[in-house]
Amino acid sequence: MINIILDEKKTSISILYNAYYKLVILLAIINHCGSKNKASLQLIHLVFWALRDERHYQVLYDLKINIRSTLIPWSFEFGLEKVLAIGYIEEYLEKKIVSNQLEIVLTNKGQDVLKSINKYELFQEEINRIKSIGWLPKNKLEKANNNWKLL
Amino acid sequence: MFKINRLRTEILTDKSENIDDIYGFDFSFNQGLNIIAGENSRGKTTVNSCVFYALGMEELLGGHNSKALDKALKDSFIIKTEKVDNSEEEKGTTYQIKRSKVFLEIENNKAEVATLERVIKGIDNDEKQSNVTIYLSKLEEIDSTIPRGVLYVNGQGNNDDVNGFYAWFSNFIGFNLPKVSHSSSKSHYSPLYLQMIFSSMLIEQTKGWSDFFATMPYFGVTKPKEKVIEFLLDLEEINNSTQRDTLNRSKNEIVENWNKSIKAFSFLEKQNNANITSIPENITTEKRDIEKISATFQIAEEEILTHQEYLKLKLNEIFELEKKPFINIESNKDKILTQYEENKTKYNELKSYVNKFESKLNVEKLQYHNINNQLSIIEKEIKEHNNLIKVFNNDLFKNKNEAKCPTCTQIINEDILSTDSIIIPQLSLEENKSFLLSQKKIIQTTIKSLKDSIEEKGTLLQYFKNSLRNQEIIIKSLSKDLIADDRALSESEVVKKIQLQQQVQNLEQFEIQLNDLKINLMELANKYHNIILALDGLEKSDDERVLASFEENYKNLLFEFEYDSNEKFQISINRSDPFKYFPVYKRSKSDPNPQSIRINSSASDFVRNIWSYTLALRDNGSNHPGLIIFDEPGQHRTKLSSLQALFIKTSKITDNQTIIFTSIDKQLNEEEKIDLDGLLEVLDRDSYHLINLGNDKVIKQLIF
Repeated sequence: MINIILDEKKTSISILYNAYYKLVILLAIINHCGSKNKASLQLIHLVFWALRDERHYQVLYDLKINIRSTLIPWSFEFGLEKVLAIGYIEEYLEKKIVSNQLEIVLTNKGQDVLKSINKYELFQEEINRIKSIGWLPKNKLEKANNNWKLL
Repeated sequence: MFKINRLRTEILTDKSENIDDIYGFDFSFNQGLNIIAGENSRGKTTVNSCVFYALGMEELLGGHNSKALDKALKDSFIIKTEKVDNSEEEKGTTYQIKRSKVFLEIENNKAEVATLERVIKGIDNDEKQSNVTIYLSKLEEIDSTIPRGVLYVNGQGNNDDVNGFYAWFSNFIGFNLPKVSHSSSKSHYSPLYLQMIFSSMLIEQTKGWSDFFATMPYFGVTKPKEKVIEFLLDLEEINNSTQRDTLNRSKNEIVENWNKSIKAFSFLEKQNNANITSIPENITTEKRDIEKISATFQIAEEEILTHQEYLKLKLNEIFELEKKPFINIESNKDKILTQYEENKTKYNELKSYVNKFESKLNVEKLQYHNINNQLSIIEKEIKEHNNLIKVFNNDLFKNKNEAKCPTCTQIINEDILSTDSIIIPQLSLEENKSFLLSQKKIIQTTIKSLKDSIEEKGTLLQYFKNSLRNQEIIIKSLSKDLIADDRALSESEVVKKIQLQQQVQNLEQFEIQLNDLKINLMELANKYHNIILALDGLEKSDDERVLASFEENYKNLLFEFEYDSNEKFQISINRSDPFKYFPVYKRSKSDPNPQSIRINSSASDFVRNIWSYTLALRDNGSNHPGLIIFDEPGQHRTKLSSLQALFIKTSKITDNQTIIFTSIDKQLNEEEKIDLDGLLEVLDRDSYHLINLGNDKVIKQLIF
């Protein structure tokens, strides 16, 4: 009898779709852009969006250094829910309600991971880009978000 | 050469009352045959993997660091307390592992002893799995010995750096590892990695019996299996082939330069509107062929001139012009008018050609720009892949593989693209990295040829534009003549003369360039000739004698182990590609198409092949490290008598160490089961060392 076996053909997928890569970036975003190691989902999605494209990054950076006070239409980060799930399960992250809003908190364990990543000098390029955005005040973000411009 | 004297693992658990309350195992090994027997899932593989791990060979098991090891060594293990009635179910206590280590005492043929210590699970980040601590003493004396050093296992340069473990290890077993061709290393060479060599002697249970050297990791060495055999059998071919590769590489470079020079001819051709003939298509060492290269110029449809003739024609034209008295416009008006028309048409044709040419060039420039952007994206991806691989290798996310939802126990993995209903098969990080690297290579080649082509076309464009300018000047002077006073002197005649002089100068320059290129070809031909001589002169070696004796030994062993898929005369060790140095099946001696022995043998006969091949490599290999480990050699319905023959054979080899792991309750085939007593009854009692795990789990409380 002829036995036919079909081999699956594996595809090359960008690292941007790797949950652990995203987790590293997520931890760095909460650490550098949030206040006191916690950040809202909106902020997280927004910084991820900025990292995706040089033009996006410029918009957020200009907002940060007060060159502009508006945002252009932006979109959510794909698959972030799975990344958050890993973060909660492995106890790198925690959920917390602060004044009726959900905030994601970086745990000590999460901070340790970030420290060791920095110790090995990994992902420095991306982390430095996140660092230069740094802390974004909530009201500023709120205002900018209510005021979208096309360009 | 080396042998293993003792293997010990130490595990500190959550139930350890004090730091002396240690679990694990401790076994001694002898020279000659060692048999580790036990019932299924008693921990034979755990013991075996510890040997691999301590020797830094866990890559052969398919993973870096402790990833290759069983969870009983890094996570938790059970020690049974009682058996419920007669059922199979066992009751036991689970011990969580807090820290675990493996120790391996080894001895080389100069009777030097070393103990290797490697952490499996460390208490903190300072206890790294990628390091091996070396003591130059016996295991029982390490507490009073200062370590020789801490060397690293995983990381760049682990085979040739002074702090790399394999560099020390190969030195310890008396190896001088040769440099071999490497496909991606910058220098084109790398050492023959120790992990590659060990895949020929450590045969593990799951993958090891599927092919010769099946567990060999990929390091980018060209023809890796051949190189390992050449090294083990100490064939001269390994050095010859490295030299041959070097020579071939220079040969290719010369051919590449030759082709570039040939391209330069066509470039020169286009620049001067010439036709260069008799260019040899392929590289040649015939001087006459190079001298024959010459240029011609087509001046009319039927009229072709040589370079000299053309030069002479131009000089004559200047001479004629000089001879003529200055003429005024009136006498020449009709001629000027026709010339003006002719030149105008030529100019327009050339102009539209140049425009088209330029827009094509701009498309190429845009392509170049886009591909360069793509390259930087790929380079960034590769960098991030490297970063993530380092994160995993250093285990920065602890217990990464066990991410499970605590409520619904669903496994969460790193794949965020697949959904519950659609699974997208994806390349692993390492695979994807190699994929990206090869993509980068392709793009780099494209960029290089695009860049060359853009540069060449740029120069041509410049030339075309210059011709346009010249035409413009002539048209301008012709039109000036047409509107000027009829009594004035004709300006176009003067311009024509200046341009003729320029042409003569260009033709002289052309000759110099042509000759330079010919000299360059001569030099290349000389170099090529020398390389061909050097390649022919690579010494003829004594390898055939070694191979013949290896072949005989292998075949004898094979039939001693009751191989019966083919006749003895049909089996041989192939001396050339394909299957170079590996056994092949030939229908008759003169059969020109050797076939893979694997396809032409039954499954159990192929296993016999691996037994005999591995043993023969050691018998005949003057560079063999001496140790052979077979994990579960009774594969694929092997007959008990064959297995007995293997045990008899290995028990008689007393100057080397063989370690065989075997089950004792396994059904070999329909009629036979491995029975330890039956297996051992054919051996002399003192010809082997038996470690019988029996029915017990291998990890126990260690008593000091």
